[in-house]
Amino acid sequence: MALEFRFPDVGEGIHEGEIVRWLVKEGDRVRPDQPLVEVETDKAVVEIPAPRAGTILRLAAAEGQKIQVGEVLVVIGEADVIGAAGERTPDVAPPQPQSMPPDSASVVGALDLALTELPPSPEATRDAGAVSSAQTRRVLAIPSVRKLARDLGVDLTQVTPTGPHGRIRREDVLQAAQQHQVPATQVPKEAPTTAPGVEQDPYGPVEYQPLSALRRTIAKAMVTAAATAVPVTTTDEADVTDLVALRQRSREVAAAHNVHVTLLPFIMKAVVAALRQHPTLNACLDEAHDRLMLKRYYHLGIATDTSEGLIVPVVRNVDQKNLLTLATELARLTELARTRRLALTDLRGATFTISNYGAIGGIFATPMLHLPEVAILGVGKLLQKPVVHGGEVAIRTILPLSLTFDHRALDGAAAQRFLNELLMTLAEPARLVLAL
Amino acid sequence: MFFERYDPLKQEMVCILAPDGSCHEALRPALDDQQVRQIYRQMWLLRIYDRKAVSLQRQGRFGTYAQMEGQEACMVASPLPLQPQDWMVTSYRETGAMWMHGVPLKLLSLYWMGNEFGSQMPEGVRVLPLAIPVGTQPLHAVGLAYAGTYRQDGSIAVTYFGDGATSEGDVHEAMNMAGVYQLPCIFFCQNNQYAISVPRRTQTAAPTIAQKALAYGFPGILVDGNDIFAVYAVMREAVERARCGQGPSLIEAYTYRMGAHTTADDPTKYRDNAELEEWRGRDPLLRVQRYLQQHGQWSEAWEHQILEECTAEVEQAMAEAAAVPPPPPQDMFRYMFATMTPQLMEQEAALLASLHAKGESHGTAHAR
Amino acid sequence: MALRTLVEAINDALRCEMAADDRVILLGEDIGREGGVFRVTEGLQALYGPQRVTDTPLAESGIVGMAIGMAIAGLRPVAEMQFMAFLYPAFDQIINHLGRMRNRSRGRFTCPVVIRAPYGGGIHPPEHHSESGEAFLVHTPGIKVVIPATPYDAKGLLISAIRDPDPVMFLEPERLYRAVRQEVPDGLYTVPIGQARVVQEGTDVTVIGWGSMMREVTQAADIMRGEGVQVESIDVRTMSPMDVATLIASVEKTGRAVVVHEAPRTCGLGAEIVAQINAKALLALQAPVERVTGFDTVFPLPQLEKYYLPTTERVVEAIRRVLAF
Repeated sequence: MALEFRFPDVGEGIHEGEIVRWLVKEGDRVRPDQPLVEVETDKAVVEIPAPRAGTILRLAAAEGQKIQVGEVLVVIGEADVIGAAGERTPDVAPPQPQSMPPDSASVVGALDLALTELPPSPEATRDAGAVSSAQTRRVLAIPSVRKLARDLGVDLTQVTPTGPHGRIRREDVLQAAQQHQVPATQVPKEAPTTAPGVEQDPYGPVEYQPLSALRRTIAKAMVTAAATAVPVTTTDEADVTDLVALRQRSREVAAAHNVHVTLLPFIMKAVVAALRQHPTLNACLDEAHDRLMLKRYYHLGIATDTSEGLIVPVVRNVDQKNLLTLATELARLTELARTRRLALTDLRGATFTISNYGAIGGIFATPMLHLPEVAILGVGKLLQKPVVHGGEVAIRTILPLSLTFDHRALDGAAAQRFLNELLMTLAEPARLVLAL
Repeated sequence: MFFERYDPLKQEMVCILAPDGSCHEALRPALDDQQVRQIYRQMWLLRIYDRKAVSLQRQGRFGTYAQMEGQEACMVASPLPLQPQDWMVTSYRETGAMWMHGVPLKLLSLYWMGNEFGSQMPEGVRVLPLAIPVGTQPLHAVGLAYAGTYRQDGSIAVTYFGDGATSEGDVHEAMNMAGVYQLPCIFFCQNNQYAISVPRRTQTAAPTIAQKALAYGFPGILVDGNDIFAVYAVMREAVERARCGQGPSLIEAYTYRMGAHTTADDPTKYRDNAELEEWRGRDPLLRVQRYLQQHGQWSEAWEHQILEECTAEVEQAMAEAAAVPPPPPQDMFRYMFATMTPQLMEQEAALLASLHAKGESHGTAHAR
Repeated sequence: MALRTLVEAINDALRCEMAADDRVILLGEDIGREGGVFRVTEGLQALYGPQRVTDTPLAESGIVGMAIGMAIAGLRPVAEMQFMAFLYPAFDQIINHLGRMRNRSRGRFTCPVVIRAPYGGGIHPPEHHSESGEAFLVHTPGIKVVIPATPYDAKGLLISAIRDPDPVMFLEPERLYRAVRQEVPDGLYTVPIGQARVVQEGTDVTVIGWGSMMREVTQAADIMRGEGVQVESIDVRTMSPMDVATLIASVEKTGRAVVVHEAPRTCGLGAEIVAQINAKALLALQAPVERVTGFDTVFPLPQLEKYYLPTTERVVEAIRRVLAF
C-alpha cells in the first residue's frame, strides 16, 4: 500500500518549511533513509530521508513551495522485490478508478477499509521467546477459599496448606485468621504481587513496595485523563476573612448537634451557587455525540486522602442539603473512605470535584481532572496575608484556589467567570446565605 | 392452451409482444388499453425505484441492494393474475413483484435500509419476507400450497427464483414434492442469464430450465420474460390450472439482468458490452412504449407526467422509510420467540446495562 | 392411565393432539402406511387419513421446508426425520429459515413446527444412526430443543411442543424407545418446556444428564447411595431454553457437580453447563465440574460402541473424583 509521507516536525517547534530541492523524482526507487528532499526552515536547511523503501509515486509539493508540518510531502508506493535502489522502474500507474465504489470487494455489505498495519508476527520474525517475568509463588486454593481469605484479610502466601497436593483448605484459612488475630474492622490487604523485603539493585539496597489495587486504579485513571483531556489550571485568591469568622461562630451551634463543621461545607455551598450561574462547569464532555452534558444536579466529589491513596467519595445533591447535613455527611464519607468501606455507588455520579489539599498543606496546585467531569477545584491552605483592603493594607485570611478545567469543553474566560463568582460568594457571607 | 402448445423440449418460446412493439394479435391477452397503460406506468415506477435504490446505496443511505432493471415485465405482469389470498414467495430480486402483490414501497425501502420492520408485511398481504439463501424458498411455497389444499380455501402459491437457483437441491426437492402432491404451486423462474458472474450455459447442461418440470411430472413452459403479454398470459393459465386442481407448473421467463448482481458487484468483469447492448434493444419498457405508440395510447406529455408522478411516489416512500427512527437494541431480543427465554432476557439486560454505563440512551421496544 | 413405552407414549401424544386440533399434520418418510421405522406413528394414518399423515418423498430438506410453509399458513406440522443424522441435510432450512422467520418478519410470520427425530446411540446400528447433535441445534438461535427421557415426559413434552408457537426440535432417545415403561395418563396433559426435573434429591453431589444417559445417571446414583453418598440427579429435559436456575440451585446446595452426555466432548452442552455454573455458582463449588461424555470421534460401529458411550462406571468414577477433590 502507498504511504503518504508527511512533513515531519524536524525539531525545535518548526511549523513549516520551504522545499529547496527535490533529490528524487517520480518513478524513482528509494531505500530507507535515502535523502528525498532539502527543506529550509527558519533554523536551517534539513534533508528529509525516506521512511522506507519504495517507489516515489508523487511529489506532493514543488520546489519553492511552502509546506506545513503534517502536510503530505511525498507518496511512496510499495517496493518491488527485485531491483536495487536508484534503478529506473516503469511508472507505477495509480489503480484505475472504477465505476464501482472502491469498497466493493464483496457482493454484499461493505468491507471496512481502515487499513491497519499489524505488527509482525512473532513466528515470522523468529524472536526469542518472551523473557519470563519474575517468579511468583503459586498459591493453590479454590475460589471460595480465596474469597474467604480476602474477606478475613488473610495473606494466602502465609498460610500453611493441609489439603491434597499443597492446596489451602478453608480450615487452613480460618486457622491462620485466628492465629494472627486479625480484627474484623481491619482493612483487608491485597495479596502482594511480589514478596516484600530488602533487596539489592546494581547500585545499592532497595525496598519494594507493591502497588495496591487502589494505586493501580489511580494510575490507570491518571493516564487516561492525561491522554484524553486538556487540563488547564487557573488560580486565584479568595478573601475569606468574614467567612472564617462565620464558621467560627457556627462551631458552637454545630457542636450542640455533635457535628464538627469545617470550612469545607461552606466552600461546597459557594461552589454550587457559582455552578448554578455557570452550568458549563458542572458538566461532562460527550465526545461521541459532540456535545456537552450539563448536569442539572449537583453531586460534589470530595477528594479524600487515605493510607492507600486518593479516593473521591461523592456528596449528593449538595444544593438541597444545609450546612449541618453536609458537615455530617462529609464526616461519614471520610470515615468510610479511610476504612475502605465505601460502596461503589458512593464513588459514582460526581458532577464537580473539590480537592481540599490545603488541609495537609500547599497553596496553589494543578489538580488533575476527575474524568468525565470538566472541572475540579483545588483548595489550598488558609494564609494570613497583608493585602490592600478598603484602600489600606490589612491582614486578611486568604484562601488560595486552583481551578483546573478541560479546555476541550470550555475556555479560560468561562472558567475565570466561574471563579469570579465563587470569589465573590466566599468573600461575602451574605451572598452565601442568599444563595442557600 | 399455452402449456399444451409450447414444448420446452423443442425450445418453443411464447412470444406475443415483439421488441418493435408489434403484437401477435391472436395470442394477445385480454388486457385493454387502460390496463396496458397502467402496466407501463408500474414498470416505470419500478425502474425508477431501482435506479434510485442504487443511487442511495452509493450514498450510504441504502444497504446492499439487488437490482431488477431489465426484469420489469416479469415483476409487473406475473403477479397480475393473482388473488389477494394467494401466497407469493420470492428470492431477493423481486422487490417489484412484492410491491405488486401488496407490500408498500415504504416497507420495501425500510428493508433495504437495514431494518427488519421492512419485512413485517401488513395483515392480509400474503408475501413472505424475501429469501436470501438461494433456492431455499420454493419449499415454503410448497408448504403453503399444501396448507391451501388441506384447508380448501382456494389459495395458490407462486414462488420466484433465478436460473442459478435451479442448481440447488432444495429447488429439485420442492418441485418434486409439488409434483407428487399435485399442489397448486407455480414455479416462476426468472432466467436472467447470470448467477452473479456464472452464465446460464454453465449453470446447467439442460437446453432449457422449463423442461426440467417434465422430470417432476408437470408441465414447464419457456416464455419471453421481457414480453408483458406473454408473461401475463402464461401466468394466467398457470394460475387457472392451479386453482382448478391441475397441479403445479414451471414458467421459465427468459430475460436479462441489465444491472449488476447487487450494488457491490462489477459486471464489467464477466460480461461484455455487446451483449448488454443487444439486450437493451429487447428492453421490456421500450416495447410497451412502442406498442402504446402504435395504438395511439402514448404521448410525450403523458410519459413525462408518469415519470414525474412515479419519481415523486418513489421519493416519498424512500423518505418515509428514512424517517423511521432506528430500532432500539431490545428489538434484537424481542422477536426470537413468542415469549423471551431466560437466556435472552439475561443477555438483553447485560447489553442494556453496558450501553447505559456508556451513557447511551436507548428507546423503548416497538409494541407490535 | 396405562403403562407405556417411550414409543407408545409418543404415539399417544400424537393421537390425542391430532384429535383435538385439526391443524396438526404429520409428515415424513414411511410414517404413514408403515407407521414409521420405529412404529412411532403406527395407526395414525388409518385414523386421520393420508392428507394429515403423509408419506413424503425421500427429501429431508424438502420435508422441513414444506413444514415451514405449512406452519406459516397456520397449520401445526409435526415432521419426522428418520434419524438425527438425516436431519443434517435440513440444516439449511432449520438454521436459515425455521429459527428466523419470526424475527425476520418481526412476528408477522411464525413457524410452530415440531421436528421429531430418533437420537443418540446404543442400538448397535450401522454408521450414522447414533448421532447426538443437540449442541448444533441449541447453538442455533430461534429454535427450542427438547429431549425426553421418560414416557411420561415424552407425551407431555410433545404435546407442549406441538402447542408451542415456535419451532421445537424433539429428539427421542432411541435406546430408550422400548427399554423403559411408565404409567402415562390417558388424554391430554402437558409437561412444560423450559423446566428441568430433579429426579432424586440429594445433598452431596449434583449429577446432570439427559436422554438415555439418565439410565446411567440413575444407576450411578444408586451405587453411590450404597456408599452413603446422596446424589441429587437432574434430567435437563429442555436443552434450549435450558432451565439453568434449577441446575444452579442444586449446585449451590451440593457444591459438586458432574454432567453426563453421550454427545462428543468438545463444545458439547456439558461445556455450556459448566460455564453457567462457573458464572453463577463459582463460590459454592468445592471441586471443578466433571464432564462424562462421548469422545471427539465418530460414533463407532457396534463392536466399539461400548467404549464410546458413557457407562455407569465412568459416571461413578467421576462422582468419586469430585467428592475426593
